[in-house]
Amino acid sequence: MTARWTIPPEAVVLITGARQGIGRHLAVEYAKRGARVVGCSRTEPDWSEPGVEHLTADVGKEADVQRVMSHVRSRFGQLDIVVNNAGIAAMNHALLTPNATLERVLQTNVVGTFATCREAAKLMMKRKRGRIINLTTVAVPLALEGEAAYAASKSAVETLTRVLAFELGAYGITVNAVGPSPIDTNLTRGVPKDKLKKIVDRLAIKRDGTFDDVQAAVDFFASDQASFITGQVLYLGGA
Amino acid sequence: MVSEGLVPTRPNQPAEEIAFLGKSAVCDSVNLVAYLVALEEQVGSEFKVPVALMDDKAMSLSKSPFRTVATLADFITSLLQEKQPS
Repeated sequence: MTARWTIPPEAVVLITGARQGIGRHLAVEYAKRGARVVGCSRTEPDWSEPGVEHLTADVGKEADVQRVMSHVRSRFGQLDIVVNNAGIAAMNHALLTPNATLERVLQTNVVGTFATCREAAKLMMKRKRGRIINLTTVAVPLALEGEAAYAASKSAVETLTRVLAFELGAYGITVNAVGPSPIDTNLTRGVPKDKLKKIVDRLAIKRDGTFDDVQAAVDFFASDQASFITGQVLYLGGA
Repeated sequence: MVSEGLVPTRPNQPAEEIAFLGKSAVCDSVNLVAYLVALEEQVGSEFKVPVALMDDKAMSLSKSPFRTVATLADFITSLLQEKQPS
């Protein structure tokens, strides 16, 4: 037996938040492997890649999510893999976090992920096969100070992942989550270096994460071989 | 449209009496969800309007619209009427 994770030939992959960072890396990588990739973000990317289509959409808006799925349905008639990567952070002390910020974070991270999972599952269930991978964070198990809104939103994503695993298991759809440690992206760029170091020091493996680390975990959950693995949250770096 | 593909649970059962809930239900909860998702899509495509069968209204009704083919058909009709321009 070869120890290699495979996805269906010409798999249709949807990646939210694909304009930059982890989402862009995953979109380009899957396209290079022959997948038909649909990415979406709130604004147009400044890059293009053969095999990647980009739609402007805000996952926090239900109509946008439905429009993206409608495009996938009419263009490809199937959806194999969804990576719910779109997310926004609010790095601030809870006492300095207004409700408007909290609502914005919850709208994208929780409501957006929920809606994308729901609409994706409707498309996947027809073929009795699908892989949903949600992005969470090590901020949840580490209970990081200054990330109350962000960590709380991702806790919700983790619970959503576990519940959906049960609700969608009967339709051949697996739902798992990957929780990266700090990676150099726009999301962490505003966080002071010493704070990022403190987070890394609390991990079992004390180094910054990379896009390839995330790719490896996503590859596993997305693979044909992971058909019996669902409801799991995999933290990178040993949180 | 609502009774399409459903197999009655007793001989000569009128299609509109086919039940989705209770002991004589034609399917289990897993298949009921799959059926409702497919029906939602079919209604939306047939009448060219997005319809959410499992919205707050459906859940808050004192009697579930998902009891039988007849109650579900009535519910869909009411949803479509609401969407008609007045």
